[in-house]
Amino acid sequence: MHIVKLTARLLMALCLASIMPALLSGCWSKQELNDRSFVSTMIIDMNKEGETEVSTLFLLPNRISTGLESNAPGQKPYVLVTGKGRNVAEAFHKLQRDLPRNVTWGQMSVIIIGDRYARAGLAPLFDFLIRSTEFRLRVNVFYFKGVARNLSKLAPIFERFPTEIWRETTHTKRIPPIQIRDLLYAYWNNLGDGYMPELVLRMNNLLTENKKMPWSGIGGAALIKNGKVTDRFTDEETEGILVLTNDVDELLVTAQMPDDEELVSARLIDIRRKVKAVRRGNQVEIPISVTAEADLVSIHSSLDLSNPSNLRKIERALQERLQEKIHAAVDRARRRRADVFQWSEYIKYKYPSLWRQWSERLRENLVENVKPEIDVRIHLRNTGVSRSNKS
Amino acid sequence: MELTAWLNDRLQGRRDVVSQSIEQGTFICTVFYLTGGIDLEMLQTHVLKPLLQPYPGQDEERLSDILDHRSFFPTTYSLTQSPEAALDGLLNGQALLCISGQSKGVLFPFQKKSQRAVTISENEKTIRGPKESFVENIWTNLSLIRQRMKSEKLQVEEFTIGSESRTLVLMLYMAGRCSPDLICTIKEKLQAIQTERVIGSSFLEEALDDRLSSPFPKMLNTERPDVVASALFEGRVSLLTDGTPSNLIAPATLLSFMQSAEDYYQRYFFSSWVRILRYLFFAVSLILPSAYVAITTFHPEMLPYNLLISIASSRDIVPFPAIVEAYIMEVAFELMREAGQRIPTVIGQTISIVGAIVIGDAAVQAGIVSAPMLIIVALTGISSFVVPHFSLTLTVRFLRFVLLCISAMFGLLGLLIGIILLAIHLVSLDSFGTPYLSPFVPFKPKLMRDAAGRFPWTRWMRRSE
Repeated sequence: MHIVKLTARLLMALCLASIMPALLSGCWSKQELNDRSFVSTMIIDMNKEGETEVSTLFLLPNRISTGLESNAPGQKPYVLVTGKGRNVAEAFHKLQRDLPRNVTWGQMSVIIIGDRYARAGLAPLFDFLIRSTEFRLRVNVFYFKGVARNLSKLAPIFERFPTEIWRETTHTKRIPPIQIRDLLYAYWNNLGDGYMPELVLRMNNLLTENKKMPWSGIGGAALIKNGKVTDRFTDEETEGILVLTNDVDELLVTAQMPDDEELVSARLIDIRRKVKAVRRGNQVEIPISVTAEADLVSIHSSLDLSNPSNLRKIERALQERLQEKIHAAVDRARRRRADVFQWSEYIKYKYPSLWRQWSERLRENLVENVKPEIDVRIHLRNTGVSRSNKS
Repeated sequence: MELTAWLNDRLQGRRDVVSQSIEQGTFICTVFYLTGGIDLEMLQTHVLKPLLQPYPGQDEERLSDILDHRSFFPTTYSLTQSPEAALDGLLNGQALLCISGQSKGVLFPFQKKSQRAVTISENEKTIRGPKESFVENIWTNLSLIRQRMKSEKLQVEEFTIGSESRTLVLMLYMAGRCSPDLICTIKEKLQAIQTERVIGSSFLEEALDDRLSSPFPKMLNTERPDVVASALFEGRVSLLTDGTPSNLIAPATLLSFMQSAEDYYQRYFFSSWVRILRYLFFAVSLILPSAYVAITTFHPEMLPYNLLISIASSRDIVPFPAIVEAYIMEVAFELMREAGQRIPTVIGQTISIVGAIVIGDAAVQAGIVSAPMLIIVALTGISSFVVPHFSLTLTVRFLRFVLLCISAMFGLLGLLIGIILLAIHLVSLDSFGTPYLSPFVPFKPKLMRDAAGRFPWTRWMRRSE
């Protein structure tokens, strides 16, 4: 009798356990693909009146042809819709009112922030992003110097959608990628500093297309200090950031040989970096070691490549060149007293007493008492054809 | 004339029973047989000839030669103990001899049964293995099994089931390898069957199933003698039913439905690989349409960007919700499959072409269904045939619709709950005392040698002591 009671209770519990979560979902949250519209990119601008302008790039499945049917000419398979409001949520609400379909954010992979909004402060955007559960945290963020909406004018010649072009720039690590989770982490956990890779728009004269076309490429990066964009990294500095923040698989470096000032280009492979923090009294040293293999791509100098000492020379030239780039990035960040590379975290967790001591003049201390030591080691593993000495 | 009279009384309606009386003075006897049911030549040479020859001695001596010494007829014969047994023997196709004044009858095994030759197995094909398959005659089937196992440990027990059909059922097992409990249970269940007829082995399968509410089959049926033989070696019980070419093996676990005879005839390496693939596609055929519907209607963010574009663009003109689309296609597929089985082979090809063009191409062109759904349904349909045993295929076909229904209502959560409930059900099932998911649940490492994959024979097969 007791067992029967127990089984009945167990069955009851099981039934409840399986029915209750079913209420969380259900037919009412069902939505056919035909009733949804998918956002691929969100672009945020601010107009002169200080209003937030949210533009979303929607995919248009009805204009995409699949299979063998050819696309209707002149019809783009995407559309940009803009809404205005006092903050992101309001602007988005205005945008949604005119749409026949429900907006699905799950596929959004790019956010582009216009210059004016970025300089005014990203805090309201961060607040919107962290509260919303519909996004993924792996959305790439970009900066555009100007009205970011204009980027949508580009002609996506290589891809079907502009979003693909932007996404691929980070995917191939041509610029240092940053995702919203990195920015949110920096903003909530650290000083709110960081960087955003920059997109540029220029008119390209494409001979094959018989006209000038808006072309979206990559530029430098924006420096974020306490949630606001305050400065811009140059293209060269951006390469330094890339090496400092990512394990890059491939990067071309061109350096000048010290002896005859001839150019040497090498493809760096498997660039790995290691960042540590070591306390020396009241100062903290940040040893950064970057190691890479290299394949020689071109060399104008008439060095004898069969001589190992000449190889060392090439390696040294490449190392110095890469070091310059990294230094340039680090120097700009330090000049702006920004913690772009989140080094404060090392001190915060490794030397908490020092951190407390510094808390009064944090930014000053982070610049004055933190010394980055950059050490680059490149190993030239392949010289290609070994040219004999001209004699 | 006791037995003769008793028989004549009962066989009045049987025009197919021939009775012939032979009188030699006071010695009167009658031969009964079924028209066309016996070998007449045997009857003539071995029964009628000796009877008609003048007997040198007395009638009593002749009687004792027949009944006691059994030296009268130059053939084997048996004596019946009761008139019912005599009738049974007669209706079973034996020739019956009744001697006037005797209650015992004499039965001669001269049956001539219509019989199909042993042919190539059609439903469970192998490339390298033996090709023979069972036929309808139970004795031929038994001999096919005996050819594969000459061990004296093979036990054969006989049952007659069905009050009217009186079907012969043979229970085979290997003494010492089979648990006595299992033998006992099956015997008891067989004896407890109350039915008037057993037409095929499926009657027995249902009669022996103590949980008919479950869609999963509890007994394996096969038309291959080698499968039965290896099951017997593994210590399982086989039931042969007269008149059916598909015989039963018990107990059967989910695993045994996923094993194909071919697995044992190819090299272990490839057998294991194919078996793993089979598990994969078993899962595909069960959940793929449900997962597709759940993901596209509830969680499109799970799809990669480019895949979503393809699916969304081909779904854009489809007027139905995804679940209706899925049901239309799945039902259409089931329809074609079912029709394909019934249609005569000559028309079959026409129908399959029409089906392929109408459902495959025209429906997509017309925008009634989307191309991805068609791919999903086709893939599901084909994967369900990967399951080697048809009875489990039927289960999967049925459960797929159930899962489709709940995942259309509750999304992936519903699908997950469905799978969990299915797992709970499978864990609670057993087939004649063997847990249905064994050797996985409960886990038996020793039996893993022939479970998910197959280890080489040499590593685990030894001579029995």
